[in-house]
Order: sequence, then C-alpha cells, then structure tokens
Amino acid sequence: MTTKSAAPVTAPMYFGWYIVATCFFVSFLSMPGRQGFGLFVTEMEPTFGWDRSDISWVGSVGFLINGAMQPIMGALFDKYGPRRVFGIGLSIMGLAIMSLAFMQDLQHSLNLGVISIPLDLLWFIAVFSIVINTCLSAASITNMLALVVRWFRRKRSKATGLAAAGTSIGGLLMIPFAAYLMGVIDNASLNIGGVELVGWRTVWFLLGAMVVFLSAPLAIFFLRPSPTEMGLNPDGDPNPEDAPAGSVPQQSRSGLYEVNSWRQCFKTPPMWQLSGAYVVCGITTGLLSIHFIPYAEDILPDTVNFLWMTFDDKKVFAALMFGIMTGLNAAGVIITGFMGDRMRRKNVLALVYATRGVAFMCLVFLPLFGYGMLGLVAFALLSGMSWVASVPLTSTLTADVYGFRALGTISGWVFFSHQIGSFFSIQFAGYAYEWFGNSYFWPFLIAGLTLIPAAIMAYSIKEYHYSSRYNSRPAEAGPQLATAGAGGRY
Amino acid sequence: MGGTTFVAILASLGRHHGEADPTLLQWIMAALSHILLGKLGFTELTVVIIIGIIILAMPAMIVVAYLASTRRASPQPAESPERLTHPE
Repeated sequence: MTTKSAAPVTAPMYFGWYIVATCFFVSFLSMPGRQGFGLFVTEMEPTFGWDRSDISWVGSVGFLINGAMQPIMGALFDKYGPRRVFGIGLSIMGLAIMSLAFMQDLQHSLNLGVISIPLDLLWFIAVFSIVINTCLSAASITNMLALVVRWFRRKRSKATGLAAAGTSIGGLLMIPFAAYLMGVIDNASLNIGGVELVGWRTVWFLLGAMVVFLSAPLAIFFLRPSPTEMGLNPDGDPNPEDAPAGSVPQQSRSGLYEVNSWRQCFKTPPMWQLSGAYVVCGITTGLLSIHFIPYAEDILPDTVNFLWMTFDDKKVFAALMFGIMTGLNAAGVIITGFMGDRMRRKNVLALVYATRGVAFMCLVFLPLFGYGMLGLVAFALLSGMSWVASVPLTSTLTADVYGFRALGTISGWVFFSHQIGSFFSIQFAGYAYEWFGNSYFWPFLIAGLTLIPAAIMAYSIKEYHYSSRYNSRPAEAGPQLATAGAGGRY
Repeated sequence: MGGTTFVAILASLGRHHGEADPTLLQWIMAALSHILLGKLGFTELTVVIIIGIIILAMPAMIVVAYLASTRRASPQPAESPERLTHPE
C-alpha cells in the first residue's frame, strides 16, 4: 500500500515586494501633479488668455503648499496609516485632475488691489496648486518610503531605492506619453456625441482617471501598514521556530534614538546632520532644475556634434542632457539602494554627495579649458547618478535611527529642509547671476562647494551607534534619548 | 508691505519651478522628438501606444503576480484517506 503525498506548498512572494511595486506605480503615475503644470499650461494659455506671469502663480503656490504640507501629511500617515492617507489622497487627486478637463473661461477677474487675478486662473490655482498638491503630499515619496522601511530590515535600502525609482521613470515616460497623446487627439479631430475632443482636456481626464482607477485601488489594497499586521516578519524571514537549523534569526531591534514624538528627534545630532545635508541636496537640485539649461546654453557652441548626431540648436542638446540626467536618476537610485544594504548607509550617502560635487566641478571648470560639451556630458552622467539617490538613503537612515512611530512626520520635516534649500538656492542663483556680470560660474561653484560639508555631515553620522542595523537593543526598550553620547566609532 | 513681499516671492518662485517649467519641458520634448520621431522614425501614436501598454501592464502584473503567488501558496484541500490510499 502506498500513500499519495500532498502537493508541495511553495512559499508566496513576500508581501513587502508588492508594497514596493505599488509605491513604484503610484509615484510613476503622479506625474500630472508634479510636472503636469509645465506640460499643459502651454496648451491652456490660448484658451484662457493667460500669460506666463499669470501662470507662475500656479506653480509658486503649488510649490509652497507641497513643501509645507509634507510634515502635516506625515503626521496623518503616522496616525491613520497608509491605506487611508494614500487611498483618500489619490482618489481626491485623481478626481481633481479629471475636473481640470471641464475648466471654463470665466472672463472675469478678482481685483485684490495689488494684483488682479482672472477667476479661471483662480479656479486652476484652487484645483491644481491647492487640492492636487496637498493630495500629492499625502501620496508623497517621503510617506511611501516611510512605509517601505517598515517592511524591510536587511533589504531596506534596496527596497526604498526601487520604490523611489518610479518617480524618475514616471517622469521619463509620462511626459512624452501625455505630450504626444495631446498631439494625437488634436490631430485626429475626434468627436464624441457631437463634441470635439480637445487634446489637453482629454489628457487631463485620462490621467486623472488612471490615478482614480489604477493607483488608488492598488494603494488601498496593497499598502498595509506593517508586516506584523499580516503575521509576517520584515524581509519575509521565517519565524524563529520555523527557521532552518543553523540559521541565525533576526532580532527585533531599534535605533539608539528611537522616538515616540517627532519633537524628540530635534534634540539629537543625526536629525541635524541628515537635515543639514538634505538642505544642500535641495540647494543643488533646485539650482540644477532651474538654471541648468541657461548655464548649458552659455557654455555650448552654437552647433553641437555629439556621437553620431548634430544639433543645430544647442537648446535641444542641453535639454537632451537634462533628459539623460533625469533618466540616470533611476539607475543611480537603484544602484545606491543595493550598495546601502552592503555598506554603511551614511558612507553611501556621503559618496552620493561627493559624486555630485565632482559633477559640479566638471561643469564649472572644464568649460574654462574649452571643454564645454565634455563638462556638460560628464556633469549629466555624474549628477544623474546622484540626483535622486540621496532620497531613499536619507529616508532609510532616518528610519534606522528614529524608528517607525513618528517616521512620517520626521521624514516630512527632513523633506521640508530640502525645500528650504531649493528655495534659497533658486533665489540666490538668480541674483548672483546678475551680480557676477551675467555669469553662472560663481553660483554653480558655490553650490558645488556646499556639497563638501554635506558629504562630511553625512559621513560623520555615527551610524554604527545610532542605527538599528548595528544595535541589538530590543525594540520594546523604548526611547533612549537620555543615553545619547555615542563613542567614536562611525 | 508684507503682502507685496509675499507676492514678489511668489512671482519670483513662479519663474523657477524646475522640471515643471513650461519652457524647459518644451525643449525636452523637442529633444525627445528629435530622437524618437526624427532619428528613430516613430510616430506620435506609436510612442503613445507603447507607453500606454507599459502603464496598463504594471498594475495588471502586480495583481496577477499576487493572485498567482497566493494561489500557489495555498495548500490543496485535503483529500479523503480513501482516495489517498489504494491497494497495490
């Protein structure tokens, strides 16, 4: 007599990877909130009679609200969990994006004494700058990474890097998708029920619908707050009793400065080191995103020969380099994510800032010796690899040191410091350009030099003492702020 | 005065909104079109279809992978002892 054995049971893929994939997709599809403004307004200007200075209000208010709302949305994330914050945020954001398809020319203005704002522009500001950017803060990369770090310990850096790559790849694909779709719809002269479809209106509607019907349901289903809720361990590790013989089970660990309230972290050095370095990150990325193209135009010849291509318009070549830089963000963030799980994360973060510093030096000094194009290409390659890479590393280190209890809020404050850096560098570079005789040399050199203290600040974080990676103190031990005073080992 | 300063700050910020800058995006699109449409010979519709498929495939793959994984992981219902054993 023989006994038929039961079918073998295969271990399912660890649920944390679905969270990473969902975060990737959510950030991939958030392009309308981040860059939609720039893409659509050129199409909307003629319809509503706005000029570029009118439209600047939309971007400005949105920029301020997005930065200021990060700590608030982080606090809501800590209190109500990811499914509510992401689900509600994405649903409202998608509906708001869809509603932009129905904007009308109101032909009246609101007179505020100093300025007069057209009512339709006010409508656009209310929907895009206030509603969409507030919701974008709810479904921000900082909240996403605050969630991902809960699901991983050994592979934390890799997981956050993969999740953050969605932002770069989304920008790379969604911009041409939306731009060409507008052209296709306008050229096709499509009619539905006697109403001719207008490119920008239809694309706003479709992009909003994607957020409502694709991003939001995925977020609501997959973004579970922690592995313990599902009876799992971080990284999908087995329970100690189920672990194979001879393997060392992971202990539940916490960092030296694990906090219950975000206020406590401001009393500790790592918060200031991380935020200080992040201010410089904001300084350099803010400067790049605004002044890179005009600077590149200054240092390039009128006709650019690059590989097999000839660019008669140097603006197109400069924009191509900017595009390459954006595309390399994804590679950089993934590579540093993998490195962060094998090396001290603060060392990788310092390397990221140092690499960006070398990129700035290439951009500033190579053109002085007649190698403008080479400087630009070297800059695009090096800075592209280091541009977004600082984001997941900073989030991961924040989680390693301060734990999860107030992580959303703390990450929100750290991100806020980044925005402060961006704001001041953009202003400074604009004025410095004129002070130094219409030259970007000094603004770019000064910004590049600030990366030296940033790299030092990151390198000087005593990760070995602060981080839960190296601290075997049980997680239940609670806040340890009183014991601050780590030794000399970094 | 405060209001004027605030307006000035907002206006200056508005000149500088990074990747969302309409002029920068126009240049990037010109560079992309130079390569995609000019050098590689794609049409706008082809690019839209390719990227559209990628967009729709991502959530579909996440859901399919999850369903396949959970189905694979769930043990088969226990069969009756009579069916599990048979005489040689």
